[in-house]
Amino acid sequence: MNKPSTNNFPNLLRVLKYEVLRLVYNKKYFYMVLIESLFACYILTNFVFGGKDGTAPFSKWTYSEFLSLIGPLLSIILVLLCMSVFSEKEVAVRNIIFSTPLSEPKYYLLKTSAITAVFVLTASLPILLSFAYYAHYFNFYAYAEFTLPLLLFLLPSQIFVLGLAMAVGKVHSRLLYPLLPLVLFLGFFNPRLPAWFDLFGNNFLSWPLRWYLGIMEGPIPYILPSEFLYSRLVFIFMGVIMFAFACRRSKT
Amino acid sequence: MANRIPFLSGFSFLFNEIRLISRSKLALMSIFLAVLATVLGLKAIDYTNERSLVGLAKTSFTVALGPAQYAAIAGSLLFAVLTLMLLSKDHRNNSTSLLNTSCNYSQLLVFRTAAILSIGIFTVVLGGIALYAVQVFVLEITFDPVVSLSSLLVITLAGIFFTVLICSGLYLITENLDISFLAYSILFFMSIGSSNYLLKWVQTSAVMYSDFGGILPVFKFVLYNRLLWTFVSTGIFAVGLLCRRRYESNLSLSLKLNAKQLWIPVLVLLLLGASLFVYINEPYINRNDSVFKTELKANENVKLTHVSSNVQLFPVNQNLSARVLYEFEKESGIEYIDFITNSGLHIKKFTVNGVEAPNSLKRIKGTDRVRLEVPAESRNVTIDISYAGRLKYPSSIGFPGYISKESIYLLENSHWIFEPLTGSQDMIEIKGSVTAPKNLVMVVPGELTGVLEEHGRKTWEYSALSNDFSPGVFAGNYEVKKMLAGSTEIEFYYSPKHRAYIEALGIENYLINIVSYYEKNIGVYPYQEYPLKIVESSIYKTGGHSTLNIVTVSEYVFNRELGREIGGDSDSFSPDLTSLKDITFVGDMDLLAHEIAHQWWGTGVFVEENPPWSSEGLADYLAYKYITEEFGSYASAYIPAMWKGRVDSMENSYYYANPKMLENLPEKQRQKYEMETRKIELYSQMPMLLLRAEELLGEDSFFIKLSDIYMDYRFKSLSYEEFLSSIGLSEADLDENPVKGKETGTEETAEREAVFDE
Repeated sequence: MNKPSTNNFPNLLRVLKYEVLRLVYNKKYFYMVLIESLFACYILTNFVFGGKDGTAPFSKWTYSEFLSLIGPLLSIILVLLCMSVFSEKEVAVRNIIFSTPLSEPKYYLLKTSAITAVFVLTASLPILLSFAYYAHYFNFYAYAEFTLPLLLFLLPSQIFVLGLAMAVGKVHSRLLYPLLPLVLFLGFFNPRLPAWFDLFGNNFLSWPLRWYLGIMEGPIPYILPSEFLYSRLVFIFMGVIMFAFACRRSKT
Repeated sequence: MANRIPFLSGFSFLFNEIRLISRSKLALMSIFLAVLATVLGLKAIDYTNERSLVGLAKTSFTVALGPAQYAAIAGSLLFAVLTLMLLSKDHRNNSTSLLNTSCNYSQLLVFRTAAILSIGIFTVVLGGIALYAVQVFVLEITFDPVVSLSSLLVITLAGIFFTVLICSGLYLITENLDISFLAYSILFFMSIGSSNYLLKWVQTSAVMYSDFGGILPVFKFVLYNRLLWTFVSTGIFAVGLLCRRRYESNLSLSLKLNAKQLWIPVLVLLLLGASLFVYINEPYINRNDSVFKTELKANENVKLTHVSSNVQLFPVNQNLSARVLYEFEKESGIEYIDFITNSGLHIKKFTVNGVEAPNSLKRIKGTDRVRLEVPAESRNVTIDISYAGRLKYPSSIGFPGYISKESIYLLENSHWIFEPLTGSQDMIEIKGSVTAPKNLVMVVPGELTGVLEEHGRKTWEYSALSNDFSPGVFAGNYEVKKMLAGSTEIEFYYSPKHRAYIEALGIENYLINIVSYYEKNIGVYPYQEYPLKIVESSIYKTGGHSTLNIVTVSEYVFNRELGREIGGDSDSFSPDLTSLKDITFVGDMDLLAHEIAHQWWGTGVFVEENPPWSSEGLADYLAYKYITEEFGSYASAYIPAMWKGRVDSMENSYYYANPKMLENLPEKQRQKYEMETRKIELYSQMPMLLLRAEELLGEDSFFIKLSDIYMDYRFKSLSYEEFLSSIGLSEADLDENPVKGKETGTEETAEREAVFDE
């Protein structure tokens, strides 16, 4: 059946706002954020202070390590947020939703936008904590320096996990559960996986940087191997592709 | 209230739950992946980046830990999700209230948890069978059921048990799958990232099992960790039962209702109390060990002249009892003598000049030292101390002393014989005896003067004359080979398990070559009256160690795969060493040469440590010179490059450039930074300065000067100032324009980390 054309951008924004509030305004989300913040504080005080391979605690390398350590927990939160899209309650009302002028791709786009907005809010907390930490202990305020580490060590992995979670959830909601141990395994265990499997960059960072980059003298410049950079692009690309797959119209 | 489930119906209920779970795809996937991880763990050695483990021979001992740990990690992650999924099933199906009215839901949850635990047992059994099949029939490695199965049981199965109980508990407390899994994630990270062995509840702190030293030295840490987490995990589960929501009530009301079943709060209190008790009374680690205390000062006004010890070792109980008689000469006015002890050894009795004085002993707080009051007016003091107990360690890995049935390793810095903090200007007369089971071969310092056998135990008597009191004894199932390097007698003690490798590689020839090289270039072996004993030791103390006429080297030096491949290159030890493909072997020989060099510099000449000056720099430098002579400059080029890289890394480090910021660091991290910096100064900066001296003076001239210094300072102390004046150079000469390490071979440096010995 053809659906009437819609030009309901303001309505969609309202729905998006409602979706975001639905995700955020509950006890569960509060506890998630609390656990994540405590974890970020633990990482900052126990791992960041020393600095990565002799670099400053506020160097790009140390910040990359910080991001690779908090990344897995953020991904877990992301998967858990995606689970809400594919929960039984949500599936039960989906037919009613699709009888409205909202198409299936738009529905998933809306849901993913809400999750993305909530995730940005969630991820900003440990980042803000780290900024406060640097300001307090090291009088360091040049936060713009962390843009590149954020783009390389946080964004690709989270885009990939989001795309994967949406695609996997679309196939079968139960398949989201094995994603949880997979994310933890990839994030907290370093069996020196190659860059293409090194989702959070923790395997790369577990190498001694000087040796790995072949820089034996002077400060360690923030230069990443091309293989690693390409792998990040691939993760982003694959995440987007999987998200597109999730948004496609069902055959039923 | 619902009736209790009768005992027999409970069993049928349990089997029904097991049947339901075993049909779940997630459960089947968890079982399959955990079994796969068990088998993959056989290759754990290949995935390591520990230099000491590169190409390590795969034996029933060296491959036993990997499968258990891999399976524990995979099993823990998978069973966490499985547990949370199964426990939240009723909540997701909105059937909780219904079940609450038809049965005792608490019991139902307990049975469901028990069913998941049963699946865990099945997984580990299946993993054990798969492990046996692959290990024996595919890899053709001997299977030691005791070692492998005990690891699977105590590490993997326990890890899965803890996971199931913790996740069940967390779910019952929060009634939320998401929060429970997040909380579990934190605990999992804690296990992976913590340096405290008590917190490593998933994979435990063990790194590798020794091929000849037995598993007990590390396995006892594993067992204690499991004891703690048995209480912690069941405690969390019991708290979960206490918090379980009743009839859609909130937490506080549910708590009140659950607390009426008195056994639950009592159980919670007991388990949490037991957890706390076990954690506080940890029996193996001494956090005040002097290994971390470099500021300990020796009293130069007191001299140790004689030591006579009688030590009984009991490997079955891993303890010892000792009686040691110390004789001192001191200046009048000195009122006390400090001893470094081991906090696991308890003083039973002591006398000062033959008089018991129980009130004259004080333990110095925050250290492992005791202070003994002595008569101020006496010039000569005799102290007789009897003590017994189990040694404590500074950490759960790389410990300086242990006693077990298969091997004994007692370095002087384990303080198995209490060390007096006194000056060591003159020679000390050391006499002693060590008694142990007769199946062990004991290596004693100095000269073996007699062996007595009585009641299945042997007593080895020894005597030595040394300028330093650093007695070490080592025992194991050794074979001994005797050889001569010039006029020096060498006794090589090694495990018969590694004979094939030692013979194939001609290790004996290298030992002779190393000693001959030092005798030719530095001077005669300092202890001509004693044999030089080269002793294989377990992997529990990586690297090596050198004490009075004994050099110990970790087993991996004598136990690598023959014909192994590293990075695609065959590492087949061709006699023509013209490429770096044999770098692991070169590194091993470098370690041997370093430790043997300590016999000249460190024990022969007492080098007063004043970073970067210490015996380590001299030993490193001379080992490098030997490696260059033996294997050629191409093979040894990575060594100075490695030194340079480390020094450069240190000088470019943030805290080195901003020492004031160190004040911000927590105590532990500051300690770690200082240790690492000191290590680089001693092992990398100093040998570079010596290379600079060689460059300025010329190799021949520098070696002549080194030889002269050795002859002049043999059995005496050598300070940096004395060394510099002897070679006719100043600190400024050495500091300016430092040596540029050759760039060749730098890409190998990380894999070839030289080991930090004592």
